[in-house]
Amino acid sequence: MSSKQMFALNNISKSYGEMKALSSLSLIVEKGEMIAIIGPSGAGKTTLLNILANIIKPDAGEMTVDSKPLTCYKTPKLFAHKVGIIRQQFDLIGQLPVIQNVLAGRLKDWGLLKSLISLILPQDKVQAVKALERVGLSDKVYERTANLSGGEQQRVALARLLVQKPEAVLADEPVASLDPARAEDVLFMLTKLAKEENQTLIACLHSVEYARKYFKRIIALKAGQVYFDLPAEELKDELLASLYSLGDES
Amino acid sequence: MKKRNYLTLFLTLIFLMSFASVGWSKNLFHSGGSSTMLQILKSLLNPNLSPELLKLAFESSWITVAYAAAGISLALIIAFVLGIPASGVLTESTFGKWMSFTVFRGILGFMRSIHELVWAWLFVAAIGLSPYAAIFALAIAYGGALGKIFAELLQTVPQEPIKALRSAGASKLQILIYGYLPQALSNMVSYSMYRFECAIRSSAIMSFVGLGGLGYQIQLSLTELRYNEVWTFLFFLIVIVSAVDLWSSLLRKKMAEAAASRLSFVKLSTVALAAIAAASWMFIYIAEAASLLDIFNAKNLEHTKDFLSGLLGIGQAEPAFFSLESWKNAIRLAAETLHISIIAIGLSAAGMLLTVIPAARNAAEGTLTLKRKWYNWPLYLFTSGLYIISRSVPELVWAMIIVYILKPGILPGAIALALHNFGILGKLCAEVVEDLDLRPVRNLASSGASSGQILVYGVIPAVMPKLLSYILYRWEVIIRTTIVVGFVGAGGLGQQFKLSMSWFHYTDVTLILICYLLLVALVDLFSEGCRRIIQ
Amino acid sequence: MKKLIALILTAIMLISLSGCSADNQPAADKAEKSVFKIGAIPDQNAADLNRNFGAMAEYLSKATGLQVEFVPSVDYAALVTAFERGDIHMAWFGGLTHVQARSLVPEAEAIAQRPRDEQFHSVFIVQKELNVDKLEDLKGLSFTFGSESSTSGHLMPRYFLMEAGLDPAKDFEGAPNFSGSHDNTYNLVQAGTFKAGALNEAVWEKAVAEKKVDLNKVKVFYTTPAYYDYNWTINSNEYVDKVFGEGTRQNVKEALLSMDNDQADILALFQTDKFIEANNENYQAIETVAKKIGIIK
Repeated sequence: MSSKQMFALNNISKSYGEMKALSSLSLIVEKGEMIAIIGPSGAGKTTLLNILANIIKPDAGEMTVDSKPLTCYKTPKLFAHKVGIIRQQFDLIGQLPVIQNVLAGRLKDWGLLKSLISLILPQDKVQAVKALERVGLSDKVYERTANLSGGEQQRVALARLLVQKPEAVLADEPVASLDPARAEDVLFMLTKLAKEENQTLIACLHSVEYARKYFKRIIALKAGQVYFDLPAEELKDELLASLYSLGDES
Repeated sequence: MKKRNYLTLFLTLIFLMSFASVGWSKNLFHSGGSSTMLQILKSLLNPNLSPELLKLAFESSWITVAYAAAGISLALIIAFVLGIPASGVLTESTFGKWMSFTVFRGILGFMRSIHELVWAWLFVAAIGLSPYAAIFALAIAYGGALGKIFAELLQTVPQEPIKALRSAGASKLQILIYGYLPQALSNMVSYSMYRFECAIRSSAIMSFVGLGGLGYQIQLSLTELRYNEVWTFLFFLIVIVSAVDLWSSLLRKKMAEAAASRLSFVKLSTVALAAIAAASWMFIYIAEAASLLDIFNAKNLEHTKDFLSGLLGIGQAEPAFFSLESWKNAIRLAAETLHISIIAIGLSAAGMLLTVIPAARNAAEGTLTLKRKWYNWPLYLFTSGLYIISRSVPELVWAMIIVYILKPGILPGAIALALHNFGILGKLCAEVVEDLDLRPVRNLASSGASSGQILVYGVIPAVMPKLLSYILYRWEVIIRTTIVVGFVGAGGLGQQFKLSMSWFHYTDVTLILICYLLLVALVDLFSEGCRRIIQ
Repeated sequence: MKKLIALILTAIMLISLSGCSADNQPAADKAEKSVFKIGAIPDQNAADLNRNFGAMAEYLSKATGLQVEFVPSVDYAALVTAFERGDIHMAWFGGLTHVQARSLVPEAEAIAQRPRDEQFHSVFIVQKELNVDKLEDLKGLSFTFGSESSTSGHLMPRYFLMEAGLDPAKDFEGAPNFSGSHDNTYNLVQAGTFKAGALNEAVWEKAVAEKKVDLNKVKVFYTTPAYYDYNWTINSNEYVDKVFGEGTRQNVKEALLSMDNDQADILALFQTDKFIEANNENYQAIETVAKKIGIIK
């Protein structure tokens, strides 16, 4: 039973100086779930995601990933097998060709020598090319990444995740800097790939509309706490209105 | 704003005082100096272009380039090995960061504080007259300079991609090669190219430790008073330095462009540079029969030990650094060195200020003062040509020529340094004028200002702070170089350094090096403080 | 781009590695060692030195059966250093460099010299139109020595100047110059760059004989008393007999001393008709002077 839990958070708190980003937050995420996290700016979405990603440490509370406490993941490499991240498009090294950015997802499995060789003779090339095919960029394998459009760059980041093959994907505003058409395109692909790979997907989104359209479970944060946690179809407009209203902050 | 003006006034006063304190009473030319100068200038018009000499000049040029390339390629390795830890990107703990900042920055700073020719002399004393003495000297001085810049470039790369790599499970070294290096690479390349140009000049003056090449031929022709040959070799040096300069600015431009065509030029350049480096090492190994491992033998270890204990004064009755008399003398020479450097920077700054406006492309095109005169273009070509000649010739070579004209003392060294730095400052500062925001100028013009008024009210106040900080920056470089012009009898610590090395007075050498390092550190501090006020 | 940089680095490494491994071959090492290298202080122009000592190396090769090679040096100190390191097996030193070399290699030995080296002189030269005929008259004129490590171009002239009551640091017009070699010295005085200078008598005589110097412009006004100068100094047993076989020092010495009319053309290059025995004790006086002046501590 417990092995089905991807993430379990218990009474997690985090503050930055005076500001409380998260207060006593508890949450359980089952494997294979597709979750969107919404909420007004400053609600603690990014902090939560960074804690899930093991980038920042909570001040208090416990967390397990795949039912094991974080101390079990001694190296970043081990953790990278469990959790992968996609952010805005600035995640890529613009100076490198597309394929190298995709192959960066393999670094966790490679030694230094292999990584060095790969810069000259790309290793595991078939895997990378396949990933690029799945995101529809098979014609841009050797293109300089900086020359790609924003949407294309996000698709490269998706291909990197395909190669990295984590059990869970955390997406932090993955479409924030894209126009609507491209944003939909990227979200569609993100959710589709996660489904195909049987991955758990947690995404922070600004847009409630996208959250409803592409995700099954929606968690709303407000002032560092869970405001509501509902299946997408049960989400009511009144609830949303009060989530984003300015007045009733305690 | 006020502060800056006071500083400018203060610095100008220091220069004028230094300038006035040169013994102007006696005439400064050799009795035959003016006629020598005339001969030298006359032979400029008919350089020796005989086939044999041209062949020799080509061979010597290759030697000079080869040693520069070998030195720089080794310097690049040093710069990576030391610059990466010095950037702190591999360490996370505060202690680790502190260690990398202090220890590795310290090493790099020490390496570049000492001029490459001084390193070369020290290496010759330790490992003998091997071509590697020159290569190591170049590698250490340039490795220090490159390493410092590399560390700074690595520190300033965008952090988002680095974080992404970290969360993808990449190790620190993997992050380095996939994240930090690719992002910093283009700046690293253009700075390395600039340093390669400098290394060619340095390689030429390695003739002082017995290296062949253009510098050696210039030295030979000078001692035999064959000035027309001197000019031939100088022309070769000027052409090579300008060619590398042109290449590096083209490369910089192409690398900044995002177009697909840039790749071919960049790739071609990289292949060409690699080929030059490989050919250079091959040449040094085969033609000069100098193998790298030969240096690391027991005998050299013994000699190095002897030399070092000589420097430290082990087993000597009276090491110079414990003698008050020697200290007094060394401090007097350090003051003289400082004096030389002040006159040098003052003269080159004055020369630059007089010529920088006509040397700016926008002045030639008439966009700067919004007046176009027929003489703008010829004047532009003339001044920028002057800059190229001036900076292509190393200060030591200028000094070698000038000691034939002026009497030994403070002035020949100062003038040699000024001649070389005039061209460098001129180029840097002309670029400042070219990059000037022209809108205020147009406003002045539309309110009816004349060209002169535009210059005085619009251009000069706008560029002055930048020019001033370039001048101060060059002064830091000059103080390091002042010691080497002393080698040819141009005074200061350098002359004493050479005498002490020739007479095997190694503790005196140590004392001189201590004073030299202190002087460099002092000037760096002062200049840094001044630049902070300016900004 | 990144690829290429990596390629270059690998290429450089490979090249330097292959370079390193190649020179481990003992055969190459031996061939290198068995060359008997002679050197000379660069007191004249490079072309002359190459010709003279090249001829001498050829003769010594024939006379001793060794493979003898002349290795040119950039300056006096470099030769002394190379000698100390055993890179040079026998050197044509001046008095001062001989003394310096012996303080670094106590076993080194002066084995041969020209008859004139027992009675060597420096000459002081001045521009002809100047009214100078004794050392004291040099006061206030610009002056050049030869190399700072030269016996006849610096050490002894400085000594005799001091004996005449002149302080070279103060009494000339500006600091005295170091021209680097004897040829440079007369060239500079003749060109008018310096008013006066001091140099090796032998080089001066040769320049006069070969008409390299214009006697209408330059004159000699003072010749120093005699002192010991140039000699052939051979390195210690460790670097000579142990490497080239027992008795090599003796063989080389005999080869030098047995030069006669058959080698007249080579001897002429050295401006002599024979070499005679030399010994270390002859240079006691030079050492004393060098100490007095502060060149040797």
